[in-house]
Amino acid sequence: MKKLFLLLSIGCLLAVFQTSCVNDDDYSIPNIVDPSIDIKPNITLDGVKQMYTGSLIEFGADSDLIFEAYVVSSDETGNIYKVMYLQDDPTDPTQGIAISIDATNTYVKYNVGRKVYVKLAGLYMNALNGVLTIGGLNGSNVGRISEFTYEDHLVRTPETMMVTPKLITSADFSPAIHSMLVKLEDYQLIETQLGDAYANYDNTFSVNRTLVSCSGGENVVMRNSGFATFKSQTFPEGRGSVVAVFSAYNSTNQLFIRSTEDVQFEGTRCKALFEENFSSVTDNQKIELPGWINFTQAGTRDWNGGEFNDDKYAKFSPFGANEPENIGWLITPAIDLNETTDPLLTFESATAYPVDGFQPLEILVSTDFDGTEAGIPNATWNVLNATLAGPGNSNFEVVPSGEVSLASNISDQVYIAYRYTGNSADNQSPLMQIYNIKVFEK
Amino acid sequence: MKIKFITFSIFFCFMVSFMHAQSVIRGVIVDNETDLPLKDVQLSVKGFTKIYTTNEQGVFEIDNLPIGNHMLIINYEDYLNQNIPFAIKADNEELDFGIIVLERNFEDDNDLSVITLTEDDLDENGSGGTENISGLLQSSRDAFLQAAAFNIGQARFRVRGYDSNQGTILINGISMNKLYDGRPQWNNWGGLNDVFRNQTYINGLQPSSQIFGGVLGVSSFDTRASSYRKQTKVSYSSSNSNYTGRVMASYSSGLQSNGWAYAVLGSGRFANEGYFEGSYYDAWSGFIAIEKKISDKHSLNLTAFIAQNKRGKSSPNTQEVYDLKGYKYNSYWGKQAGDDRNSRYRDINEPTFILSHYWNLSDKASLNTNVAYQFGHIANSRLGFFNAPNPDPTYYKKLPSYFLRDESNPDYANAYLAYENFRDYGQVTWEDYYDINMNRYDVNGNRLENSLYYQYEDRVEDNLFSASSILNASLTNDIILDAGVYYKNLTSNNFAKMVDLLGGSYFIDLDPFADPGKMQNNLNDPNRKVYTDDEFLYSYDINASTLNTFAQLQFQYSKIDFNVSGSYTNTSYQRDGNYRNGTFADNSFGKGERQTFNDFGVKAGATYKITGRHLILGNIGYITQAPSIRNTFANARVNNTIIPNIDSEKIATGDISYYYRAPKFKGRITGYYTKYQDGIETSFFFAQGLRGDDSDFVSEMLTGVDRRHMGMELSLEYDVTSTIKLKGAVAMGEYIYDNNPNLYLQSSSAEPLISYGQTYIKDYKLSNGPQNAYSLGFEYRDPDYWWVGANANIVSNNYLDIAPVLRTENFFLDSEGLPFNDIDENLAKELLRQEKFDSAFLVNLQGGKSWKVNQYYIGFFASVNNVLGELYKSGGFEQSRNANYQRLKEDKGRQTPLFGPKYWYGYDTTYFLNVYVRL
Repeated sequence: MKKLFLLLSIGCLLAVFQTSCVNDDDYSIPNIVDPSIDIKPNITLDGVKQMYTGSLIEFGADSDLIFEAYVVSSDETGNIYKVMYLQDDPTDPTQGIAISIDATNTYVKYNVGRKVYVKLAGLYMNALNGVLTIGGLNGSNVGRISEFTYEDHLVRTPETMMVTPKLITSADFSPAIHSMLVKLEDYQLIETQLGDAYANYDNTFSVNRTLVSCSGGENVVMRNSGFATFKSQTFPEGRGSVVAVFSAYNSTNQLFIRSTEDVQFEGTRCKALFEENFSSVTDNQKIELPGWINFTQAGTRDWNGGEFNDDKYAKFSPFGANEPENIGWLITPAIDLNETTDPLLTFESATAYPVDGFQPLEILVSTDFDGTEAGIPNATWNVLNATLAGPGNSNFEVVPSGEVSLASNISDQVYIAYRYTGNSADNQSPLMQIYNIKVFEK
Repeated sequence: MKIKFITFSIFFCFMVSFMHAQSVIRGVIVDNETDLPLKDVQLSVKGFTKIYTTNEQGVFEIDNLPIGNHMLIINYEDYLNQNIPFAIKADNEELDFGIIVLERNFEDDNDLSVITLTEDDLDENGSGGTENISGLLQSSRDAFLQAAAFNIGQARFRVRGYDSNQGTILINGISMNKLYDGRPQWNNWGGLNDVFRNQTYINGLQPSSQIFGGVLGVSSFDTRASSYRKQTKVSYSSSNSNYTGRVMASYSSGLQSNGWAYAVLGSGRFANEGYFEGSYYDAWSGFIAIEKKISDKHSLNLTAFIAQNKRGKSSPNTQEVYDLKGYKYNSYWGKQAGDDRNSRYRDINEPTFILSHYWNLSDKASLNTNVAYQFGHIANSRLGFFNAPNPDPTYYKKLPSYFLRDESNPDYANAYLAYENFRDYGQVTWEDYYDINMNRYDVNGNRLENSLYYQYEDRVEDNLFSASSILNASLTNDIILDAGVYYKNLTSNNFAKMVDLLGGSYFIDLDPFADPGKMQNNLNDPNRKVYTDDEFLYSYDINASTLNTFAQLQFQYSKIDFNVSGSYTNTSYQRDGNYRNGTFADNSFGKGERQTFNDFGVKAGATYKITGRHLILGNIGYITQAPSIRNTFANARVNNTIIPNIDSEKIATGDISYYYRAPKFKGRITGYYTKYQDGIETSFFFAQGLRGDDSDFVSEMLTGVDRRHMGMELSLEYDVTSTIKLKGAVAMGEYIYDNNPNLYLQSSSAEPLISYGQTYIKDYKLSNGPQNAYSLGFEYRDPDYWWVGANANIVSNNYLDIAPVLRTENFFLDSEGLPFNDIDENLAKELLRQEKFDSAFLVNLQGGKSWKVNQYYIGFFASVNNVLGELYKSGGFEQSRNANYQRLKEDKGRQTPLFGPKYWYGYDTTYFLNVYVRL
């Protein structure tokens, strides 16, 4: 009896050791359910954007519209915050769109190149500060989709493709490329910001960094967040390519990078042979820049400085003077092009109140001008072919001049003149503005 | 024996002749095993109220018995009752029962299993199960201490508010208190109840024969193989608290004629889900003791035991979370492929070997020498995350209160979505983390294999060598000398270990919370790929040793006993870092400064016996105590920095008691006063929402802390009849901070150690359990071997743990360091008022019965705690997040605060049922 008892006890002990009836380890890898499995897109991004009429669009809770797109942005570094940018194709995009989401660290699931299906039921679309955005409702405008529901609207598929940024130049800058991943080549940080970091060391404000082109393209602004992990790193000081999401704040274009890898400035900086951005002119005052000649040949209106929204420029506007002739010369100081082989001139111009068929501005070059006001009529002035703002452009639309070759005007003293010829008595007096004059070696 | 009997009967004849012509019965009561007479055994005759007791020789005599049939009822604590029918047939009859044998009954001993070891530490990174003091007290016979252990231990009551590190636990003369925090790790001998029943408890400053001890006393377990009677026992238990089932089987041989004795025990405790959601319990234990009595003078015993314990932990929650999810909610678990998986488990296994030598130097002196070795691990797991959304389901930004935080512009839509989201699931989303880890790509579409979510353990692997040598000698008939030497040498390896990469292939060893450029956890091996079971994040060793000697004289005279004791301790710690931490590159790798402390203690006590019934007992002591390892280093994971102003704590203590002892009634009233000075308090927690949305592990230190514990205790025990006993206990205490100590913070991811100056916490109450308790219980022991008991208790004056950071000068400064200009003094006082929990009324029931079937004893023991299912807060802490006046004012003004306190609630009704068979 005693032995039996003993055996029983040992037996039950062994039983306890053998069968661990508690599951506390050996968890199996779960089967990941693909949420996109039954979802079929039935409209393209282009089709969705065409539904926009200029004011808030409500897709409706019953909408069955689904479009397919690829993620091109990432919030991993915190530079892009609570917004996700999508485009319709990873390598050959035609349309981009911004999605406003109330969540952070979305990159863990919505990585760059991830294909998503966007279900529009219950969402809204409108332009936010000039950029077409889809989101939830905030008051009477588009707001952020709740963190609790955005994954239901942005359905993740198992596919990730490699995204090739679209190679563009500043001539392509337009709302048509909003929210797409683009690549600009041959840019560098503007001289006055050399030494700055991506954002500010000691605060969390967002900061604009200006990039200038070495190939005659337009300047463009990159906007960096004061919360980005890279904010204190020094901005690269070389020259090269930048990959970014192309966006805007109303009429100002803005680039958003995903990380510092997007900025590849390996080359040495290009130096302008001559540069003038009119930063020292005073609004509505006759331009008096050192070395420049500001000669009013006819009429009482001069080339004045202009300023609007931190932008400065040169302007000529004889409107209201009521004079039969208004002629103004704005001539650069002498530029030495002797060392160059293929010098280019670039600038930007804008017009307002243009007159059909009338272009008051001419760009002239001379290599034998003596540099005095009296010598102007005696010099040989050749007309340069530049693209100028004119009747075909909207008011104040900035038009790049394109690359204007000075190859046939190489000498050690080259002068470039901006001559306005108008007639304010006869309403031939549109406003002309000049920005960012640059002469550089190609 | 016969001679004695005759002597007695002759003596009695003379006595009786002077009394009434009534009959007398007498006898001798002895112990079944040892044949030794038993003193103070209670006897009564059924129908008569008078209780008689046996004397030193075990002899009893009952007189004045009328003619008739009677039943003699014999009652002795820990022994099986006996009822002997007899008849008095004539006047002046003398009936001699001769020798009556009583058998020891272990089953009536309340079981430590009944006590819910508080699984939830008030320190979320603590080692769990070490704060409880019930196990210390369970063997005491004092009604007050029994109530403290069994009735109100569940409400976290602590005797005199002392921390568990103030009580010494000895097993075979080896101290089991951990050097890390001074507390005993009960899980080291969990599940071994049936071989850990030989326990003696010395209360408070009273002298222990083995060690100087702390202010809470000394609890000593004897696990010598020869101390167990010959027995085989199997038991099964069922419960609904920490574990749901337990199986235990043991066999002990008792001391055999060849001088050998051995004992073995094995047990398992398990639960798929314990009291809290997702809290599994998986434990098994084994024990073996072998003793050889070499001669009459020498005996050698080896005790070895192992207790493997792994359980899923449960979270403290804010009231908002409890209201949304109920009182069993646990935020640590989530579903994975149909299973419930808890992200935070605690896994302990620290096998212990103790070799003891017992030497009877003479019949007046003995020397006990012990050596012990303990190794193993304590591991606590948690989820880690790198540059990814916080996995805590109760992260403040995921709860409805977050969206209602701006009372002028509440976001109802999101608040409702948050509510639904939390209500519908609200647990860890394991499957999501696998999905993320297994499907990540870089910007060029290349697969990324490093995990952003992972599960890891904070692991401590100790190698502890201990030795002790204790001398006890009766110098004269009245004077006893106790002396001893204790030595410990510890090498403690501390590191994080990767447990599960959750579908990823590796983790890059970087600190996600450090500043960019300082993220390396080990500059000596940067950007290392961490695979499963690799060490990572931090790694350091602590080398510690303590040497303690004590000497004590006990004087026992007829009218007065007194004792005086002294002790000296040398303590030494040194940290040796194995990683060069990126944030603390100059101060983390290699050996740090060695810290040495020299401490002493003196205590004296006296018992004045006014009469045999009235006693006065008083003790005073002055003790200095070295800081524990935990309270020496500012943040041992990342640097070698020592806590500023480090010094030994000083304890001045005294108590005085009056005892009343009568056959039917025992009572005690005690007043005590203990003052602590220059103490250190540390807290290590994961702070969320620092510097915006950052998170970080933060170490908070208070130095120069003074505390005062004072109060009274009342203990009452009344034998209404020989079968009914009433017990009462009252504790009224006040435990407070007695000064304004200095506060420092050391972040794990940012330099430097910051001083916050003084924290104004004087007169705030300590958060160490209910400071008042009232207990009333009764027990009925039926002669038919069954018993029931019930007790009703009120615990009150339990306080929320305050956040010292909120009571520094910083509280009144804005982010620029300038004082707020709109401070309303009364409002500030109100904001900083310490929350006092509601009183709790707890009713407990116990009972048991045993049968003898052939030579087997079969029985059961059952208890139900908190019968009324009272819901009560048992502990909690303020969050430190709202670190200044303006933010606290804002948060408390909200209907649901974002950073309200986190609470633990006591268990509602739980039961424990134990069924055993013993041979």
